[in-house]
Amino acid sequence: MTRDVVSILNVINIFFLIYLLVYATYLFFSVVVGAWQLYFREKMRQVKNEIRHEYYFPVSIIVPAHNEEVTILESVESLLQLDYKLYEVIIVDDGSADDTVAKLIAHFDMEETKRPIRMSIPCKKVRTIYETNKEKVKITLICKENGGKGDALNMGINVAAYPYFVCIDADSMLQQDSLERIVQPVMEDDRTVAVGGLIRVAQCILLDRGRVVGYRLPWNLLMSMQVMEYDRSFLASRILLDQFNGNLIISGAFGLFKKDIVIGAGGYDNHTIGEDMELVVRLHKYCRNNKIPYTIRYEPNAICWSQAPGTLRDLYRQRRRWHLGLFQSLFSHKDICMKSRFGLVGSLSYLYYLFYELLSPFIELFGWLSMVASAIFGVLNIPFMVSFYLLYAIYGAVLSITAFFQRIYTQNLKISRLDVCKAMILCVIENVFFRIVLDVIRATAFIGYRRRKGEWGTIKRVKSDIVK
Amino acid sequence: MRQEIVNMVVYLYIFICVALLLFNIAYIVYSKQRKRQAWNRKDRMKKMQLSAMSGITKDTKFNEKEEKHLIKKLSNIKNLVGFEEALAECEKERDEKEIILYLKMCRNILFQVAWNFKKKPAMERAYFGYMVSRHLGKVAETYRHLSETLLEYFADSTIYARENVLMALYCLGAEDAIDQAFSRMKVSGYSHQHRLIADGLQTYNGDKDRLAKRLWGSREQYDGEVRIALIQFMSRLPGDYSSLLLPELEQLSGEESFTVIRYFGTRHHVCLETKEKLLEILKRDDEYSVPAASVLGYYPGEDVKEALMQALGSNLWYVRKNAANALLEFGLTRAENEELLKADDAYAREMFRYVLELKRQEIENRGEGA
Repeated sequence: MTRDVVSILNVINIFFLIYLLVYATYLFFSVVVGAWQLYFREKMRQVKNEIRHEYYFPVSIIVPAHNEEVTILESVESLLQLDYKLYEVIIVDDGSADDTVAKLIAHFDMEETKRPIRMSIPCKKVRTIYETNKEKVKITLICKENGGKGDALNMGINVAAYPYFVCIDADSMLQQDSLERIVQPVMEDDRTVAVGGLIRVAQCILLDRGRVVGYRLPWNLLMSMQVMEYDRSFLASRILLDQFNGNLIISGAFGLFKKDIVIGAGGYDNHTIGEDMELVVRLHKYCRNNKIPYTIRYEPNAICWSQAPGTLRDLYRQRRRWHLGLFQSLFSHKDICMKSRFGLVGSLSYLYYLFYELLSPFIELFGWLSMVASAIFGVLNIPFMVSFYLLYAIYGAVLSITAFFQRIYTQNLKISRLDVCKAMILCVIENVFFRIVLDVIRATAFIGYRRRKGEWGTIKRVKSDIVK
Repeated sequence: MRQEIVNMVVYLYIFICVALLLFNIAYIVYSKQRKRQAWNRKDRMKKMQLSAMSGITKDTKFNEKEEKHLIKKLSNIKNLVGFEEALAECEKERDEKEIILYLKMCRNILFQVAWNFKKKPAMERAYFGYMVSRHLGKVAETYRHLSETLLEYFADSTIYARENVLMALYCLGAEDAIDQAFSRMKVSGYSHQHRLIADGLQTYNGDKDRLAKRLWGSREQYDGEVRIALIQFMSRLPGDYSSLLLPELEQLSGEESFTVIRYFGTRHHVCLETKEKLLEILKRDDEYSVPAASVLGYYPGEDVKEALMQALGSNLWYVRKNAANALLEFGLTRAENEELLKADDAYAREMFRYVLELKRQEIENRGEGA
């Protein structure tokens, strides 16, 4: 009996060793490829290898909003600062119970209109439409019945006048050049159907008319650890997947899409809480099934500053939503897994998200349990375990700090010595402790799933002090 | 044995950690050093250019040694960047005549450098194209033959190389080379955004009307994107190309046809001969009716007004919208307005009411602005 248990534990230990080594290798490649790509792009920019143009193409910016009275004005104001010639802003109020609508009408002096809407994608009913042409660009406010974020985005697509649309969260702010940057991949290759931007933590910066004029790591430990985490995952991992058109996620906080392709694919899914990822996976499927030549790109120089949760409660709600969204997207598109038609998207990308994103908290939890069992049965090599864990933590910390500094230097941001020290300490804390916190959140995300699977979970918005 | 493998892997990862740290440090040091070196290179080039420009006449020449030295220097991308940046500064500080004489003096050097860049990676060729487009426009005659070498840059190129080289060809006013470039792009299977080409052609340093006609004559050898760009280019020129484009309305297919229809909607290209054809397209009530409804607003006549009123009831949302806008361009009578606002067709009524409302707001805003 004991011998059987020991041999099972040995097999489990080997599995974990391989699991961690594969992950470490993936992390290594993602950071190295990410860093190299950024370096290469910077070099290309210096020798004028970029498409910069007076007029690109017109873009509709869709801002879905639900009870966003605290941040909505700041967010829309930041959209009016964009350095871009032709665009429109469409705010879709998804049945807010607060003063979101009243604030927008009063601030932008909007007038009610009877605008007819071409319903290319079904969505909930419109209550009222307001418009104004008094600002730099046309602003439209659609007030509709509550139907969720996907439904609000679908309404925005129906209203959008231009062939490409950008979706942005109501608590996010764009840099002055972000729109120009995110359309550049389409100018370079018109097979591009979607482009994802880089999401960074807004609490780090000071914005002056759309320009970043100051950068500092926040004192809030939770926020600053998210800075390290965002830099590593958004910067490195997505650049690596971008090398083979394998990104399965374009963050809902900032992404550009080709309207007719999204309409053809059926628009956003109202029944999932991970509508951003679900749409991207569906676009891959739609284009491959219909033999449409396409690319889905990631543009790390198109930056969106988004508010990160400042409390553990808000972080729990956000990550729970992300994890359930990931589960729903992977589950509803399980048919692409390991199908030759879907190439590396169906194999490498799908398996990565499945084993190293969706299942990782459970696998890691199982790992801890098996470690305890190994100790009980005396097959645990404690010195090796400790050295391996320490090494793994240092390794993760080095990768995080590499990604962090790459981003700082390639964006020509200046940071203080204090922030350099903070970053050094944070990258260790983030890898040793924050990772465990996130694992617990993700592992418990499924508790009450049946009862609350459609719920967004509200995150407390705070008025930011990042705008000068 | 297993323990040894694990140890080996652990050591490998320790090595990777150290390598990453070193990479990070090296990158930071290198970035700072690179900026300093680039500034020094530009400074040296500027001093050299200023010394060559002082007292320059049209007979001033580089001696053979200087020429060889400069060719060798500028064949390196870093030095070429320094040369270009220095030239940009000199252009701001010195008299244009001196700049022109200096650029003419550099003719042999830049021709040889262009030749040397043929073997360089696409990224570097793109930069040479950029340098030409930025500075050699004012001495286009002297450098026009450079276009023959620049055409070679299209082989195995990137979008940036193509764009920069095309910009260089426009700036040199090299009509033949532009024609050849577009043909080569089709043969090589390179597609280039029509917006980039149309805007680029606008910067052509020569007779644009002649270029448009010449390129239109060779359009069959070009890719669809180039043909669309060409029509857009023509619609921005004051010349009349109706006779060239009219036959294109006979067989409608794809994006090109949309562009042709739109051509006849630009105010200065209104051609009454096309009215019948456009009315025919409007009656088809398909995707081509969308631009047709829009451009017909510029074609006066009761028959057009009637057709647009009918188009308000189209199955296509955009036809309804464009027809409503076009009717407003006509300036309807009060009775006609009333008739449309009380139309039986709810879709037509709704659209017309909305467009009318927008017009009212626009007038009010203009009044406020004034």
